Amino acid sequence: MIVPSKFVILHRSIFLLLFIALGTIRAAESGFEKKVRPVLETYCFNCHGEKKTKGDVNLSIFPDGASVQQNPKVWLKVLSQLRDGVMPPEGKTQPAPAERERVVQWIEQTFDNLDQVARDPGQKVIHRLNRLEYKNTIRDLLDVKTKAAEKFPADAGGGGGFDNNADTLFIPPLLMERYLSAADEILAQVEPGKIFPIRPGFFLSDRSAARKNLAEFVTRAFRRPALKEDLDPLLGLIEQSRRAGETFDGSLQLAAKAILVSPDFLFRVETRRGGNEPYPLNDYELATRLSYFLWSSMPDGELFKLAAEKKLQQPKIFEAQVRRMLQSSKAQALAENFTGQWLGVRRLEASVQPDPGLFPSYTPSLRAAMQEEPRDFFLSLLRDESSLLKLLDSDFTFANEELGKHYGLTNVIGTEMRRVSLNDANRGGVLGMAGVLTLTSYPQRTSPVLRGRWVLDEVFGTPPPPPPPLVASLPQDDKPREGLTLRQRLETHRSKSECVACHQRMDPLGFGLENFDAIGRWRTKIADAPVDANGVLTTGEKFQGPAELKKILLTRKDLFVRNFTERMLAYALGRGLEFYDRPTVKRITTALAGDDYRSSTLIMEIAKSYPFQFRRDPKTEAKP
Amino acid sequence: MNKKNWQISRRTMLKGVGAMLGLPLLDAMAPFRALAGSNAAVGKFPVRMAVLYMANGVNPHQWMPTGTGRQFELSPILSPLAKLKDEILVLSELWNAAADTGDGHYVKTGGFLTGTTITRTTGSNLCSGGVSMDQFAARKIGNLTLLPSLELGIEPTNTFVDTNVGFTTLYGGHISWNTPTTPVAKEINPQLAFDRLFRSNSGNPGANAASNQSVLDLVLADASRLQRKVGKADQVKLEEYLESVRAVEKRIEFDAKRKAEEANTDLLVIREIDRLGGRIKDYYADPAKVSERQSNHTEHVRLMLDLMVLAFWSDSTRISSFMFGNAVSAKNFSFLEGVGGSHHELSHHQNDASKLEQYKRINTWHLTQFAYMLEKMKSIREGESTLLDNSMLLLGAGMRDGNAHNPRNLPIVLAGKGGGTLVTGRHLVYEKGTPLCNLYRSMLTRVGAPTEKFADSTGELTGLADAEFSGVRV
Repeated sequence: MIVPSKFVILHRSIFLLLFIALGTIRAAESGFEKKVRPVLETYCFNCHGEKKTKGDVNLSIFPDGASVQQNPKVWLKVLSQLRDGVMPPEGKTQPAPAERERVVQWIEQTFDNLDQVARDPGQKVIHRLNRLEYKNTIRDLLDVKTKAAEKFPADAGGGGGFDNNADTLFIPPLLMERYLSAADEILAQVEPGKIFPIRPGFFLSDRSAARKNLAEFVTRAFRRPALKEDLDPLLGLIEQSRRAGETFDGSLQLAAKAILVSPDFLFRVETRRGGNEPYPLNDYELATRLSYFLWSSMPDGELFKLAAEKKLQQPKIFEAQVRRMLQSSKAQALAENFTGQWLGVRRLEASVQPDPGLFPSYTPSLRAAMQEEPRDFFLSLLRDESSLLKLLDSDFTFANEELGKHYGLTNVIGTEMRRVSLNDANRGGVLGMAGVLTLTSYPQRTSPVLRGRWVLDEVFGTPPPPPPPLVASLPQDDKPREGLTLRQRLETHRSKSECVACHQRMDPLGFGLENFDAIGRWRTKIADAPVDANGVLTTGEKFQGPAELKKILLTRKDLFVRNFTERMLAYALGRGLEFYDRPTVKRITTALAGDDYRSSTLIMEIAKSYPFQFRRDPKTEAKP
Repeated sequence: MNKKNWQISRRTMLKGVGAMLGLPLLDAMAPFRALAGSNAAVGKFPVRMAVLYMANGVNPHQWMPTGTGRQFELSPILSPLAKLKDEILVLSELWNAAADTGDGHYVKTGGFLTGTTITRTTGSNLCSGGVSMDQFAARKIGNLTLLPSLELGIEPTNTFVDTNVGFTTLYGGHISWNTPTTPVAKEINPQLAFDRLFRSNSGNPGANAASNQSVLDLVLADASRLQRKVGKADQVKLEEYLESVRAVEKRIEFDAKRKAEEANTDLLVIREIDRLGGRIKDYYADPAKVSERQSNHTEHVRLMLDLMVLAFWSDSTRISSFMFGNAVSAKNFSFLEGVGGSHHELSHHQNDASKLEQYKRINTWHLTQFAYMLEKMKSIREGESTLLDNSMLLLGAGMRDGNAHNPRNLPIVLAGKGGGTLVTGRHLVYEKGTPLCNLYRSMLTRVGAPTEKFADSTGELTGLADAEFSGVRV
C-alpha cells in the first residue's frame, strides 16, 4: 500500500500542472459512474457537494473517470481519507465497508494507470545517517569497529516504516553531544598513520602533507571530492593546534574529529542544481545512494573510483556494481534492516514480551535467532537470485540449534545460523517464522486477530481500518471460558454487525496459524482441546492449517509482490511513497512478473528506477 | 539567579565512592549548599517542573477520589499516595480538546503537552502543532542549568508506521517538542543518562574544552556554508544541527564551571550520586537478561525517576519529562500479582471485571512508582523546605479510559508545592471541559516562564493556591 502524505500533496500545486496533459489514459472510466459516484452521492455530497463545500472540496463536479484523473490532488486526498476511515467523520452515516473498499480500489487503480505523465522523482530533506549507517560508515572509513553509536538515541521512523526515512531523522542536542564524544572514542582506536599516511619531510612541508592527507580523507568522509573550502578551515585548525604545541598526528586527529562531527559527514548531502526540472544525480551522489541502500554504509574504493571517472552511470557498469554489491558481505545490512523493520522482528527486543513464566524457553539467544532467521533467509534469496514468493512459502529456512529445537528439528547442532531443509510444509516462509509469530501474539496467548491483521497489512499492504471505539478484546489466556474456546468467543464477538466485515478478513488468516503458539512453536492442542485451524476466506476459499493457507495466499502473489515492492522502494529512497511513484511501482512489478519474481531483479529495478536515479530541487512554495 | 555551588567531577565522584557509604540518613543533615551559595543562602530555591506521562489511560472506575477540597478520600489507584496526600492536588475534569480527534493513541500522546492536534502523517510534514509546555519553559529558563531540560523514558521510539490509522509511531514516543516539527529525543538508558548528567565530558575523558570549542567553531561555519548550497527544507534541517551544536557549546561551558567550583560540592549529593551509580551498575550486571523483561521493569523506572530527582537536587536541570511507556505500550505486566497480560491489551477491558481489576493494578503500580519518587524528594532538605516543596510534578495520561480513548476528564495529579505557590492536599473538580492548558499556564507561571496564552488555554487554573477552593459544585 502506498502511504501518501496527503498534506504534501495538498500544498504542492505543481502536481496539478503535471497532470494536465493526461487525457487518453485507459483507466476505469466507466466504473466511476456506476460504482463510485453513487456511493459519494450518498455519503459525501451532503458536505462536499453543491450545497456545502466543506474544506473547499466539492465532489459533485466530477462527472466521470476522466475528470477525476485530471485532479489527482483532490482525489488522492479522498483516497487517503476514505482508507484511513477519517471521512465520513464520526457521527455521520458511514458507508458499508464493501462500499468504502470499492471506492478506494477504484481510485487506486485509476492512479496506477497514470503512466505517460511528466515525472517527479520526489523530494526529501537531507538525510542524516542513522545509528546503523553511522556505525557501518565508521567501519568502512576508519577500519574501526565502534560501539559508540549504541549510545545514540533510537532513530524514529516513518514513510515506509523504516528508520532511514529522511524526514523523521532529527539531530537533537543529545545526539550532537554523543557525536562529539563518539568521535573521540573512535579516533582513540585509530592509528593516525593509517588514515593519514603521508608524512612531512624535506620536500614536503607540514602544511602540504596535512593538505594531501586531508584531501583524500575528506573525499571519502564527505562522499564527494574535497573542495578548497573544506580544506582551508581544517588546515587552519591544524595550524592553530600546532602552534599550541600539538604534534603533527595530534593536530590531524583534531581535524579528523571536526570531520566526523561535520554536517557534510553526518548528512548525505545532495546539492541543489537550480531550475524546476528534475535532473539525474551526479556519480558521487548515485554511488552514495546505492551504497546506503545496499550496505547501509559509504561507497567503497571501487564505487569512488567509478564515480571519479564518471563511469557509474553507464548501464552495464552500474548493473555490474549492483550485482557485485549484493554479493558482498556488507549486503547483510540490507537484509537485516529491511526484514527487521518490515516484519517488525526488531521490536522483539524492546516492546514484545512473551511471559517468562509461561515461556521459559524464550531466552535472549532464542530471540536473537528469531531475528536472524528472516535476515539470513532474505539474504540467501538475494544472493541466489531466488523468487520473492519464497517469502510466502519455502522448503527451507535458517536456524541454529536452539531455534531448530524450537521448530522440532533435531539435526541442527551449534549456535551458528545455517540453512536447513524443512520437511513440514507448514513451517516455511515468513508466516511460519517464530519471530513473526511471537510479535503478533500477546504475552500469554496467541491472537488470531493480530496475526490476521499483520498478514493483511505487512504481507499484502491492505490493512483493515481501525476498530470502532469500545470494541472488546478477549481474555489474555486461551483457556476455555464459559464453555467456549478462545476461537469460539472470537466468533461470537465477530458476529456483531460493526465488527464483522473486518474480522471476516482478519480472523480466518489468524485461525489458520493457530497451530503456532505465542512464541511460534507447533502445537496440536490448546489447553487440552484440539487446535481448530480451519478457516474460510471472504472469497470462499477453505483451508485447514498453515500449509493450505499459504497455498491460497500464493494465489494473491500480485498483491504481495506489489506491497513488497512498495516497501523496498520506500526503504531504498528513504521516504514514503507518493502518488507519483505509482508508475514506478507498476513498472517494477511488471518486470518482476516477467522474471520469475527474482529478488535480485527487484533490487536491480529499484536501483535503476527513475526516483532512485533522479532528484529535483524543492519548489519555492508559497506558504499553505 | 540561583546559581548553585554544587559541582562534581568524575574524580570527586570516584573519590566519593566507598568513602561515603554508611552515612546517616539524608534528611538528618542540613545540605552544605545552604551555607555557601548566593540565593541559596537566603533560602530561595528554584522551582523545578516535571511531567510524568502514563500510556494507555487508566481504569476510570477506580481513579476518581471521593469528596472534594480538603475533604477527599483517595481512590484505589491513588492509594499508594496515602502518606503523601498532603503533598498532592488531584485535578478533575481537565481535558485536551485538541486531542479529541484523529486516533486512539498518537494524537493523545504527541499532543499531550502541546495542547494541539498533531498532523496525521506517516513522516513527511511531521508536525505536533506546537511547542510542548516543558520545552516552552526550557526556552525561557533552560539557560540557567547544565541541561535546559531532561527527557527520559523507558521504551525506545518505534520505527514503524501505524497503517491502521495513518500515523508514524514516532508521535507515540515523544511528548516533548522543541518546535512543532522537532521532537526531543529521550534517554531510556539509565547508565547513559547518568553519565550525561554526572560525568563531565561524558565518554571522552581525553578531550579538552578548548579543542572541542575549536572543532565546534569549525563545524558551525561548515553548516552555515552548507546552508547556502541546499534547498529550503534542508536549510531548516541544518538550522536544527546548528542549534544542537550551540547547545553543546553551552554544555561545555557549564562543565568547565562545574570543574572550577567542585570544591563546593554538596557531599550529600555526591553520596547519592554514587549510590545511584552503583545501583545502575547492578542493574546492568544482571547476568540473566531475562529478568530485565519482568520485575526489573520496576527498577528501570525507579532508576530513571531517581536520576530525575538527582538532576533536580543538583540543579543540573529544572525541567524534565518522563514517559512510563510509549503510546500503545505493550509492556508485559504479568510480574504484578494478579495480572496476566500486556498494558495495552488489558487497557481494552470492555468492562470485563477481571480485566478492569488487572488494568487497575497496572495503574496502581504507576502510582506506586510516583509515590516512591515523591517520598524521595520529600526526604531531601532544601533550607527550611524540601525538594518536593520546591517542585511541581504533573502525573497524567493523554486519555482517561484506555478502552474509550477519551481525552475528557483526564487523570491528572499535581504534586509538590511549587516553591510555596501551590496549596496541596486537595481534590479540585473543575467545570467540565476546562482546558488542560490552563494548568500548563499556571505551571509555566510558577516555573518562571509565564505566558498569556498556551494553546487553547482560557486563563490560569483557578484556586491552585487558595486553600478554601475545592472547585465547582458537583
